[in-house]
Amino acid sequence: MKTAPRTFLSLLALLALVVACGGEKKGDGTSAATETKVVKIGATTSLRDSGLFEVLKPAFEKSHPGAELVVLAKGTGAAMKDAEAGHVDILVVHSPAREKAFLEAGHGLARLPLMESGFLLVGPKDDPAKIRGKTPDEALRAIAASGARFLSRGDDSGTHDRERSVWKAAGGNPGFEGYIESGRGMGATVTMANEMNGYTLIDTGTFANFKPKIELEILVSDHSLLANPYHVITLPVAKRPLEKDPIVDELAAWLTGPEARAIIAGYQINGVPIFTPGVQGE
Amino acid sequence: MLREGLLEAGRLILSGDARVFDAALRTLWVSVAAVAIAAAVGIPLGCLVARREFPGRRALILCARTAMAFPTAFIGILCYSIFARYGVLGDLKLIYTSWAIVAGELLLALPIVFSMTQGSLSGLDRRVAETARTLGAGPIRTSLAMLSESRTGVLLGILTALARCMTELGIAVMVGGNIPGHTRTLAGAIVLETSRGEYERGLAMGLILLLMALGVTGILVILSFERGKEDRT
Repeated sequence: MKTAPRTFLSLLALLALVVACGGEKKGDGTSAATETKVVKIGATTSLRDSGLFEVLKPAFEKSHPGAELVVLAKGTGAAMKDAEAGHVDILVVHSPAREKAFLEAGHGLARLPLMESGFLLVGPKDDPAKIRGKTPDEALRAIAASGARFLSRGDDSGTHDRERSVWKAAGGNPGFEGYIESGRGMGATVTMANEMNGYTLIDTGTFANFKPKIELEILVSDHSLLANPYHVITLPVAKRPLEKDPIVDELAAWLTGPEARAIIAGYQINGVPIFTPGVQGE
Repeated sequence: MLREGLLEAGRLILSGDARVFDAALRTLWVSVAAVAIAAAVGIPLGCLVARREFPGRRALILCARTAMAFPTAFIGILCYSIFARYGVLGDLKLIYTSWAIVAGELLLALPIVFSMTQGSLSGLDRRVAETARTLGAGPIRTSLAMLSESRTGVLLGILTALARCMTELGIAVMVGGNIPGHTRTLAGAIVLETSRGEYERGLAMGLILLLMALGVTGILVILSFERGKEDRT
């Protein structure tokens, strides 16, 4: 019975040892943090999931020594909540209506055009609702009328916002039998659409990523209802974790400047260019 | 796809992929830290509650057992509201750091360690405590004797807590933010790879997580088994 204390002491010692290793690692992290400034970008998931952030990050960090870019990727709605809560230094989002409301409410300082991409209506090759070549609003009406399945993000993301505005343009109510809300990200949603032989609205970047793995085809594209402009939103200094540090404004200028424009224009997924720098008409 | 996942797991482990290694190490230290604190608080507390009668004791036990069913997403949102910049503990500046994940996982682990300790001690023959006292043991030595007798249950509690912490997702993503190199855990990495369509990498990381769980469980079980043999001789 005397071994009891030893058993538990040795277990606790073992736990303490592993924590000590972790703590040491953490120590490294904090000492590095005093030298490097971590700039937090609140962004739509497509910035991360498209892989574009992975090429922008090293380029910015190279020309701005001592800065580290991190991305908190969420739906546009959640990213804006993060900004209001003072958790991020700058926003990259893609929901024009929400962005304007965000600025009008005084949560943001300026809205700078970053780049444009597109949305696509994709669906099964045999196209049961016969939407190929139609305009986006006609296409949604046809899907609702045919009783085919339509997969919606249903997560208040920028893509979900866009889907709702196309439904509005179609004058239709998405409450039909085959309308399914995934409540998940774009990748998960397009995978579900593929498995359920349904239609979905998707951004060009995610579709290019998933194209080799799924059988869905692009049926409707290139329409003003499907334009996908991204904007950088600068935030009030008091709300930024880095406060008045000039690096945040340098990042805003860099993202909309020539170096980032070149990277954005040259970025491809599976050989498909995804973004064009700047926003038309702005 | 499963085969590719296995191959990818092998490749990631053998090549020492820096990002996977970083996420794996963080998963380990964060959950071990949370469970260590939970054990340091929960085991003594469990002993106390198992041995003493006091008003509200049953309510406390009921609360702790209910808390074992806390969804991690709920703990995540709870910790988010506490650690948010303008939240109650916002001044600690813990939001989107690994320590916020430790705090959340502590909430996950504590009810498990406490309940399993209290439960296994309560199930002991009363003679264990009586014998210890007859042999001149004070309250602390008596508790230690009881812990020794019920060590399998207590160890299971620690293992269950570790397993839940290592594999949980809601807390790590909500209060950690899933930032690579800062707060990404293996579970968060699996979600990310899946959202990018990199299913093989996602599967591979799941397998690495399982291997880690096997390692940790193995160490704890071997330690306790060897003690068990000594006891029997």
